[in-house]
Amino acid sequence: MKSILLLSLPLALADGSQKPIGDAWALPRGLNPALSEKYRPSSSQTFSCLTKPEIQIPISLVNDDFCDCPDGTDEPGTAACAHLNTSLNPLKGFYCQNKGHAPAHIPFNRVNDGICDYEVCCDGSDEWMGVGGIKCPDRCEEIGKEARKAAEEKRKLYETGIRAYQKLVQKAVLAKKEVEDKIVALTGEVKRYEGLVEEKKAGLKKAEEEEKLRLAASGATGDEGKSKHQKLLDYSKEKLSAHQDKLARLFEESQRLKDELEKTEKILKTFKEEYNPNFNDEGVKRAVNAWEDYLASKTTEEEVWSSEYLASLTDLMYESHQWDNYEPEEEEPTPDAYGIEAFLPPFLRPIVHDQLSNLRTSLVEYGLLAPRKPKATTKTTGALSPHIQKLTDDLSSTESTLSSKNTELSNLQSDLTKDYGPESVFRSLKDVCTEAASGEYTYSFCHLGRATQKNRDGGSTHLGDWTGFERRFDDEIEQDVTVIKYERGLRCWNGPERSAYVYLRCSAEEQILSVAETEKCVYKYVATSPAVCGEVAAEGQEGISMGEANRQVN
Amino acid sequence: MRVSALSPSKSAGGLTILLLLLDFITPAATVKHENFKTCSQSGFCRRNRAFADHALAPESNWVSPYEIKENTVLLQNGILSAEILKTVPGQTEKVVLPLSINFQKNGAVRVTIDELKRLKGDIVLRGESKARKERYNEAERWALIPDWDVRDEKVVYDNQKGQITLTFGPDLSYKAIVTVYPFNIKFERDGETHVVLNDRGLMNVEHWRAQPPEPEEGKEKSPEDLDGGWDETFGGNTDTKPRGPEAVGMDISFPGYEHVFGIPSHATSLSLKTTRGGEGAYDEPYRLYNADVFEYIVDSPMTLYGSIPFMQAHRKGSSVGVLWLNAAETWVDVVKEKKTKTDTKTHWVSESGQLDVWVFLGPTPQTLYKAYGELTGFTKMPPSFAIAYHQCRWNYVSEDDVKDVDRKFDKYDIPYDVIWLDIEYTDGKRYFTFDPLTFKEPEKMMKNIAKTERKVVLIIDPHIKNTENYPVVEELKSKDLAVKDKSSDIYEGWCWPGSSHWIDAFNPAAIEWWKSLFQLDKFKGTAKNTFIWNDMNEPSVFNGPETTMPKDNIHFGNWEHRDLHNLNGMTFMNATHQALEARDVGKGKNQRSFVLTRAFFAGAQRLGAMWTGDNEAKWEHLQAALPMLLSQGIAGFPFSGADVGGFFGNPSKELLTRWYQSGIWYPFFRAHAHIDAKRREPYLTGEPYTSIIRNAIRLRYALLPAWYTAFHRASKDGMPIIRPNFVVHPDDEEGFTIDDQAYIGDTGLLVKPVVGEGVEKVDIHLGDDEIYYDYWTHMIYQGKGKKEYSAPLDTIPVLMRGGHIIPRRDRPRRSSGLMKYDPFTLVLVLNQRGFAMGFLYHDDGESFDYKQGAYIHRQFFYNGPLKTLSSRDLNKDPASAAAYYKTAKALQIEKIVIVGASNSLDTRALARGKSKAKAVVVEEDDGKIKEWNAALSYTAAADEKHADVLVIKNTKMKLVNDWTVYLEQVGKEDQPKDEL
Repeated sequence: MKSILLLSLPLALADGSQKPIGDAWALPRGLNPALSEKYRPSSSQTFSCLTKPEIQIPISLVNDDFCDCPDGTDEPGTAACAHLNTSLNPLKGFYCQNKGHAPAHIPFNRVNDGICDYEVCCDGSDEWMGVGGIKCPDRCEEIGKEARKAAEEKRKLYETGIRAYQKLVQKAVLAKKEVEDKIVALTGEVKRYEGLVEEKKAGLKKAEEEEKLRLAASGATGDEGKSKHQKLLDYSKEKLSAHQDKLARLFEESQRLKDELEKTEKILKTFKEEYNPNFNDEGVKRAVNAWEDYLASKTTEEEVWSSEYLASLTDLMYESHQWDNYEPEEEEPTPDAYGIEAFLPPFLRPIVHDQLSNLRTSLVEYGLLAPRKPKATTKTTGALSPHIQKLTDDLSSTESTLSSKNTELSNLQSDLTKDYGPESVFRSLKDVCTEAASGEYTYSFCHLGRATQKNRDGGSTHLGDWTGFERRFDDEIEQDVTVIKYERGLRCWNGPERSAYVYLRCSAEEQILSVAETEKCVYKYVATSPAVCGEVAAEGQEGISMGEANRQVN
Repeated sequence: MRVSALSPSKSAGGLTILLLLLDFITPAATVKHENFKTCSQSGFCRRNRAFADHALAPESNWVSPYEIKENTVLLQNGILSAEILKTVPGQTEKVVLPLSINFQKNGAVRVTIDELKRLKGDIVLRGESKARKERYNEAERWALIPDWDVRDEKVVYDNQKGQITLTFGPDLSYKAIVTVYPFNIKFERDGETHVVLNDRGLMNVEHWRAQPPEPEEGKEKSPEDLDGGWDETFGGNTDTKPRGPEAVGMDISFPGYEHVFGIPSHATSLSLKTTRGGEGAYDEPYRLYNADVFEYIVDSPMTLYGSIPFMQAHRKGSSVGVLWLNAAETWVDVVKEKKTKTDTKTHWVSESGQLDVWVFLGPTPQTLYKAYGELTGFTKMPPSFAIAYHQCRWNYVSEDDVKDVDRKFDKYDIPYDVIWLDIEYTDGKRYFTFDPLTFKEPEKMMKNIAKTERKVVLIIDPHIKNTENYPVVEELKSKDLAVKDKSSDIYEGWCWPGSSHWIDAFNPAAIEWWKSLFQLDKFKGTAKNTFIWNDMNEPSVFNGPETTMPKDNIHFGNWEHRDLHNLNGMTFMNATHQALEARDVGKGKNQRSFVLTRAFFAGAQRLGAMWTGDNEAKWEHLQAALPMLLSQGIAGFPFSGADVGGFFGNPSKELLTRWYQSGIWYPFFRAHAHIDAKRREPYLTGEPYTSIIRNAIRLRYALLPAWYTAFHRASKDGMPIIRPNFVVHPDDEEGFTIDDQAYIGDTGLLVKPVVGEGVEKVDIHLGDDEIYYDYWTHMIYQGKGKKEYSAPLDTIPVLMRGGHIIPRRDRPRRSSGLMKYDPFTLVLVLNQRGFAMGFLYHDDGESFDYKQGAYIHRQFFYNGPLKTLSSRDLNKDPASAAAYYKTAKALQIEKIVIVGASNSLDTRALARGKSKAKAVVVEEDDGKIKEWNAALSYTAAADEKHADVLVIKNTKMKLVNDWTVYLEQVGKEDQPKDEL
């Protein structure tokens, strides 16, 4: 029995270790040579599990295709310990030497599964058992050559990319300089206009005082004033009553429209609740979408029709006024044409003013009311002399020029502090747009502008406006990359506002590589641009080629 | 005046605001209930419920008007035939209803009642209808297996005093006692009554009658003018009913049975609730009318996508069942009457067709399921990938998308076997095409997926786009293979593609045509690893009544859609199943099909898998899934699943994680999501969720040998794949209603998914006093009743029942196909006497060779007192198996884990080093006896609450061989080299 047992041992070992080369001891299969010392047989012919050295097993159990160590380190060359949590095992996987290419680790659960995983193990060493008759001849020479060629091409591409990047940076520096120059020039002008405004104000003040004196000397007083007041009062009475009538009618009309709107909204609300999204009818979806957009942008009921407001409005419509109180007694400052405002509680004044002026505007627009004549103003403000009028006009025009210069200046100043990426490189790509077809759509994005999805029949959907940059992990090339963010696009049916994120890779050309809707209404672009070649340059050449060559799966 | 005018408008304004607020807080109901009929909206259901109310009223002296005409009774070749006469009030002529009682060798009995006038074609159809005049009699053609009819020729007949007694069944222990007037049948087993037909006199065969003219003013309607019996309008669609009222109804009582199960699919408890109102009861009958019920609600007797009119009644010591073989719209009322014992009384009504009831007398769940399966067929042995993990979404939108998902699964080391493409892969919803922009090179995609032995499932639905330049619809029309409308013109309705026609898969020529469409050289872009999903086959018709076809549509053979509606989905699935099996996948070879269906009927288990349709990403839907799937097992169609994650909406990470932990126990395990839902592939969830989900899916994969073995058992004798407590412990009365935990096949694995938000512990009910061990920690649970189990988010509650052996494959690969060379592990879970037994079924997982004996079927048995584990061959055809065994030689058993070793060995001595154990393996290999020692490793129990574990290491015996492992305990002085 004992002999049978001993005979069975080599069988059990199968082909677990490689042939000794010169040395009496052979490196266990699948082991990274850097760890070879840990596997050198001790005098007692035992192996100590790497993270649990207190556990010792006969050296013959290393790579016997049965998992003995709790950390799995006894099986560097098989899948026997693949069920263990990878965090327990200090080995990174089965080590493929890949002579002629770069060595790599393949996860243990891919060893001896009947598949030649050439992307990682170009030497085919992962399938050493030949399960199911699989043979994986060494293809490292060919794969290594291709990889080197690809890396070389890539390197060249990056080099042109870096040159392009440098040009962009130069351009950006110039563009920035231009802004700075403008700021200097504008600051001067602003100063100058500030002086002008002061000057003109003083001139006007002086002229007005002179005019006052002139009027006092001519003795224009009393009677005319009184009769003017009376006229105004009559006029106001008449107008107020007319306004009240109109306001009442308008209010009724608005109530009616409100009722109709409510009815319509109710229909749409029921529609939205009861339609079947499972049927995925595009027309219906669009309608629901539009309805939701409408709801989102709608002013709330309370904002417009607060009960306080309603109450005051009705008061306004039906209140009778004690005109006696306003019979002329002494001279008062003359109210403007929107006279009734004076009789309103203060909180209502701005509202009524807006409503009335809106009302007026629309009535004018519909041709129901003659436009207010500027003459009226002149009349009530009294006889402003043409001279003063001119000075006033002149001042206000100068003030407005100053204000627009100020705006321009502050825009330019904030432009300087805006994030244009490293070395402000994106400044020179402003409004550069790139597009590419993907599926039934064409996708585009414009630097510092907008991302768009166009469909074949010419319609287009706003995916978002530029909001800045961010670093994100690009899991395809396994690197952190610059991502341009486009946000607050058109709201999705039953979902969020659309947004697009452009993951950039270095290349001489601006080009979209792919677009995918990774999540509902969130678009992921992968694109190339010279603008990010600077980052790669900073990380060094290794960073570039590693991206591709080191694509081992973990 | 103005003031008075003002106040109303003022208050109106206030009111409006209030109303708007109220509208806002009213929660929107999910299901569009008004799209589907209640009983009172369905004429025949309303009539028959009223009929029952009338008959059962306390003051009623109701006598069922049916009588057997005694001189017509004849027993011949296991069939008793007779005429039943129905007395119609106010008519002297009686309605003749031919009765047939068919006794089957396995003890099942079929009672069929037809209508003579209609059999003879002696009726006049309303309108211009070309529909058939007979009552539909072809349900058996689809629902039953072709050679179902195996008669019991030894029935003993006795007729005394108006009572015909038929003695039959095993050892003549069954009796059918037919009372001549009023007609009813009592079924007895061992002297006890178990099933009674027409017990309460609710039998109602609505005989054909001409539509009576409208009564004159002031006169009453003719009693023959049945309420809702003629044109019936619902939701704007009018059903013309060319044959008028024609429902069939019958009451079926189960005396002494408190619980009934089955009649899926309903989102309800496993033990069926009563339906006539009251606390905790429904007030609507269970409805069986396959329908595309959008966002269905849980805890409801409402109809769903599929129907199996099979019901099991169970009590301590007995299980019996009935199959109501009728494919028309059907409603079932359930009531319970408590006397000394509780009786369950049911009332079945179908809109048309024959009255056709099968009775099965058990006596155990096993014998019941076997008898039912011998009739409707057993679960198809699926290709092995089909029981692994499926990744679906509406939609993976392009080849790049598919590639990316595939790559990510590998990157995150999560196994999956199948990626699914929903309707968007097509060119404008034309099936059998690929979108030319997004799926430019489908062959390449299939090939890429096949590299890791993975598969692609494509959706193909029964609606065929009605459009120009589409050869499929042109052929459908030119070959005349579509469903017709009531005027016998091709029927046109709306579904995904817009205007569509529907293939009539009842037509044998349509099946042949359908088969031709799937050949690899015809369906360009598909490959050997392409399989099919049949959705919308209720059929779903967006603009049809109750989202389905008009009942007066006409199918092959001029049968009305009304007659066969519930079969429709299954016939379509059948066509696809046949088409996939007929595909030449190279060198003239065929392979097993995989078809997923949404609609189904009894017998669909022979064709593929089903899922519970469009559920929601809500905890209550997670909770509802397990009872629904257990019910599928009861009704013979266990290959079932629910969309993991929930179809509609976005699950929280916790819900998604718990759903995966639950979904690994579904016989069909697929994650799916609606097009408007966020992406939720498991690698997107983030840590710790992704790792927890990975571990859950890996557990499913490790246990695939156990699952495949459970499928094999289902395919042989109809035992459910996941089993409720009452099936495993049929005498555990406390556990009859338990439907939130399940046993997996014969493995003794008892699982209790966590289905509540924030829940961190569950109560597991033990149905017996056997010892149970925690799967993870080997903690011991023992004693009948509830046991608390701690289940934080990363823990899946699983117990192992003592006495079982669980086969596993522990190496986590990328797909199940890549596990095919991997060794097996056997987990021996010892009971208190030290015994354990288990099974393993294995074959190539794709071909039909297993039908010729090319399979491995082993029984493993551990004898505690003798300390031996042996493997025995259960393959009944070793000669045919030999060739396969050669190819399977490389398959080994690598490890044997003995949980609760102290039940067999003196492990205390082992632990103290007083003795040593060794394992000697003796294997018969190619006629030679080999013998060797295997190493052992022993882990003592942490405390008395935990079990000890002995592992036999690197055992290396071949799966195909007979072998025995001898465990020996020896003293210190005798110390061989390779011991512990």
